Order: sequence, then C-alpha cells, then structure tokens
Amino acid sequence: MANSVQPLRRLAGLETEYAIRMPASAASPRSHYELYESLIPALRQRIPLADAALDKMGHFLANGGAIWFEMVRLTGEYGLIEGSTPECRGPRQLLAYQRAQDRLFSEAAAGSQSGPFTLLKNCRDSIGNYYGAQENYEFPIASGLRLACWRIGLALLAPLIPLTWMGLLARVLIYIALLLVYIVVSHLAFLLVIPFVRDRATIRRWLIDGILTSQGSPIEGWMETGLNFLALAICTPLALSMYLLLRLTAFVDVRKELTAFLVSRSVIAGAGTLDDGGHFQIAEKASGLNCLTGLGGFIDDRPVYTFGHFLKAALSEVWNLHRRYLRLFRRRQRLQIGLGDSNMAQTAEFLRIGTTMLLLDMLEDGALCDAPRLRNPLMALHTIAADPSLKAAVEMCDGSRCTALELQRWYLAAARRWLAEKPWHEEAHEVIELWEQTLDQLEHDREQAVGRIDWVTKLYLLSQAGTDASAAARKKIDLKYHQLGPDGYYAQLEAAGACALLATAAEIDRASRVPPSGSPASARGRFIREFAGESMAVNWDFVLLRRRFRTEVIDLDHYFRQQPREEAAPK
Amino acid sequence: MIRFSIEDESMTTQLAQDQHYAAPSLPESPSIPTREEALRNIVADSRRAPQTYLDEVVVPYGGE
Repeated sequence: MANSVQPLRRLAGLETEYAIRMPASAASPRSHYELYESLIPALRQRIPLADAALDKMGHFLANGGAIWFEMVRLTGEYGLIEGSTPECRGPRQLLAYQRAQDRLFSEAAAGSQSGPFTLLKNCRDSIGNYYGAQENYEFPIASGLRLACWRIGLALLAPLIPLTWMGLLARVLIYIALLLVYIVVSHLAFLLVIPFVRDRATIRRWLIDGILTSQGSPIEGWMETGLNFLALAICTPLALSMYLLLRLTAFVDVRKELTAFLVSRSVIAGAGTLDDGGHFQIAEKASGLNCLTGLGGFIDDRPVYTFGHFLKAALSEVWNLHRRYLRLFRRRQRLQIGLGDSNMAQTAEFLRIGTTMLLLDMLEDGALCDAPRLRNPLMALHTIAADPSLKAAVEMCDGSRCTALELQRWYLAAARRWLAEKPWHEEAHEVIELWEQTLDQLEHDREQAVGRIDWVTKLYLLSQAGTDASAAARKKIDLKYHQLGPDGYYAQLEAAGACALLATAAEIDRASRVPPSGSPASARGRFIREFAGESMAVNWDFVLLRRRFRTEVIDLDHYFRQQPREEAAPK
Repeated sequence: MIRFSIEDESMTTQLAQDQHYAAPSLPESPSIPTREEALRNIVADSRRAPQTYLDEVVVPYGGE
C-alpha cells in the first residue's frame, strides 16, 4: 500500500576518503598522521571545530560535518583523511556540502604548518589500493514481520555485547603483559650475548630499539598482527550473528529492487580508471567489490551494501553504548552503499545522489516492486565497469540480456511515471531531466558529457595525451584528475569553463559556514559555534559539555524532533 | 544552564560573519585559460616526471 512519500526529503550524507600526496621534494617529509594533525589548526582558522566523541581520531565542524584520520595500523603513521558531510536533504544541498568540504580541506592542506600538501578525491592509489566514497541514506530497515524479527534478534544478541567487551579488555591486558615480557626478555638476551659479539649496536637495535623506538611505534609488527587476529577472534561471534540477522532482515527490498540500478549506475557516476594492465574501466571501485552484503572490512570484504555501522554501534563508544544500541531498534536506519566513486564532476555527483534518492522514495512509496533482477550482480558489475563502449549486455534472472544503458532507462521511465502522479517537485524533475539528457549523451553524442561525467572526461583527457604517452604519464592523468586545488586536472578544466557547474558559489560558501536546515546537523553545528572555545565533544547523536564536576549529554535528536515543520521542509 | 535555542538564527548569522574566520578564497589569477589551453597544460604536465607523481600517491593500505 502506498505511503505517499514525498520526493527527496530523506536524510542523506556522503563519506569521502582523500588520499594524501606529499611532494617527494618536501624538505622534511612527514607521516600522514603528522600531516593530518597539522591540517586541523589550518582548518580551525576557517571554521570552528569540536573534538569528536568517538573511538576514532576526528573533529566535527560547525557546518555539521566532520573530519577523520582513517588508519588500520596501530602505528598511526599512514592513512587517509576522511570527510563526512552533514546530514542533508536533497541532492542539490548535499552537493553543495560535499563541495564545501572539498574546498575547506584542500585550502587547509595548502595552508598547513607542516608545509603544503595536497589531497586527492579518488578511490584508488597508484598501486591499486582501494578506498573512497560511501553513501548514506535514511531508510526503513524493514517492515512487518521482518522488522519484528530484527528487533527480537537485537534483543537476543544483547548479552553477547558485554562478553565481547570483556574479551577486548582482556586483549588489552594481554598486550600489556606481552610488551612487558618482551622488554624483559630482550634486555636479558642483550646482556647475555654482549660478551660474545662485537657488533653490539646492531644487536641492541635488533632486540631493544626495535620495540621501544621503531618509527615512534610502541608495538612490533608481529605483535600487532597477533593482537589484531585476537580481536577478530573475540568479535567474530557477535559480528557473525549480527551479520546473519542483517542479511535476513535488513533492507531486503532495497537489495532486491535497487541492485540492478546500482550496478548499472557506473555509466553516469563512475569516475573511470586505468587498471593494473593499463585498460580503462568506467568505475574505480567496481573491480574491488567482492560481495553484495558485508560488514565492510571485517574480513577484507568490500560489499555493495555495507552493514559495518550496525556492528560499530555495539563495539564502539562504551560510554554511549546503551544509547547507540537502543537506536538500532528504530525502524528508520542508515542504509550505507559502498558501490560508488568519488566524483569530481558536479553533474555526476548530483545524479549519483539524486537518482538513488528518487528510487528509494519510490521503493518506500511501494511504487518499485518489479525491477529487473541480475542473475549475477557482481559479475555484471565487473562486466559493465570494464566496457567503456557501453555495449556489453549482462544476464538477467529471466534469461534475457540487458546493457547498462537499458537498465538505467528502465529505472528512469519508472521514476518518471511515479513522479507524474506527485505534486510538482522542481528538484526531482531536475534530476529526471538531467538523467535522461545524460543517458542520451552517452548513447548518441558522448563528447557532450565531457565535463559532466567523470569517466567520459578522463577518457577524453587520455585520448588528448596521444598514443605516444607513456604508461606512467597516462596513470598520472588518471590520478591527478582528482587532485584538489588549482593544479588538479579536473580543476583546470573547471577553471577553463569546460565543466557544468550545478552548485553556485553562494551555496558552497554558505555550506562552508552554516549547517543545513531541517537536519540533526543544524543543532550540532550551532552547539559547536556556541561552545567551540569550551570543553566539549561531539558525535553524530550527542553533544557533551564538560563542566567542572560533571558532563552534560545533550541529545541532538531532541532538538531535531522539536523543529517546526516548515524548517524541516527541504530547500 | 545552557542557554541555547534552535530558533536562534541570529547567532549563526552573526558568527558566520565573524572576521576571525577566513573569508572564502578568491581566484588569484585574473586570466582565465581557454579549454584548449587547459588541455595543452594538462597534457604537458602529465609528461613531467610522471613516475615521481605516482610514487607520491600511495596509500599503504586500502580504506573502506
């Protein structure tokens, strides 16, 4: 039964991982973490910041967004800078906040105290490591019997959480004990071998300095690997149980009806890349995805639909655990999509968000229930990504074969029919018109999409480089296209007026300073502006104001729900 | 006691105009290259020490 959903009103946000490029000619090379730390004061000169109250290094911005240092190794030396936009409504608003974030981070990197460095907004580095973008959309996790099963399952899983936490605490104690044993044994060994060796310095470096001073790390690689493996083993019962519950109950209709759309969406939103063999792929991340659903990195899984944030709600922020876990019982949750590239072209970014939001609106409205089904979505994803001619057909469940453009046109026609029954909505119609225009350009006059669609623009640049360009020069085009700042190749094209711009300078300026209205980010941003000079910490749901003898926890949801209806309306 | 109101738009506006925070940057160069000039610049730059550039863009692990 139709729910009468209005278009483009749901909350949505983007997460973007930026690669760090430190010029090799830099006088004193710094680690990525040092560069991140030097970026924060430069960012603070542009906008008030507050510490993040999360188990992750980061800060929240007064416009409601956030900046993080993403790392895996405990050494903290290398990693990525990640940005999260505030929760927005509508693709135009989200586009403006994403562009504001790109600009704020880029300018702060250029003005960093450690010497200027640059950021790349892409999804693969020069040796093929994957990272990049995640999309988040507010959507009902389930309804009816599935929702009941989800909630019952959550209640049954609750006892596993304290057990997991106790295991993780024991792991820390094991780590401390191992470290002490290692220090004692290494010193004893050093003393014992002193009489028998001449090169004492080497032995000392090998046994003792390695653990105490190696690259500023308090932990040896083998010990870190062991501890990570132990953590994985401790978390596995909870992670596996939660994953099975999610697999059975979470976003089942989305996975059924939207997968063919997302798989074929690369033709409008792919960023393009040269693969390891020098062949052009229309999407950067597509070749790296290895499953449809997963926890996103728990066991090297790279899923299309990421469930990792549900597990994090049970395994992070112990001070806030009860509140975060209780929120998982709500019907509306965060749908996270890992299949999507970081876009430089504004048209591509606008369409990536806008088309997906529209189809989610249709699905929630009960108007999308007979979408095409792919026989093998991952194989189809890889086939489509590897075919810049857009002629490759992929196999459907009914035995027929469709090209990516045909799949996109099926969804476009369905969205147009649905929208025709709704009151006029300017932004939704803008999405539809631009979507159709782009598919026409891709099919009939691809050069028209240069400056609008990333992979087409990048392929055009590669063709301009000529056939005599070396493999390294071609790869440099692939990467430097994404460099933020005036020297980046996309930025140079944009400065020359060769790119279609949808977000106005005024919209981006505003998004660099104030949070979006009608969003939990509104209250978050305003609290940061008011209390940034005081002792405070912030996360996505709460603001913590530290007083002399107590910490006041302010629930942002409370302010969000109190907002008048007119303020909650999309702009 | 926290004195804060969600309706207090003036606070945001006032703070947004605070001179302490840097104004948005403006383009430094008044000359705007043509598309052809931009393409020539890009192609020429791509041939300048490309391997050095590739070596500078390495993320030692994959992200999300």
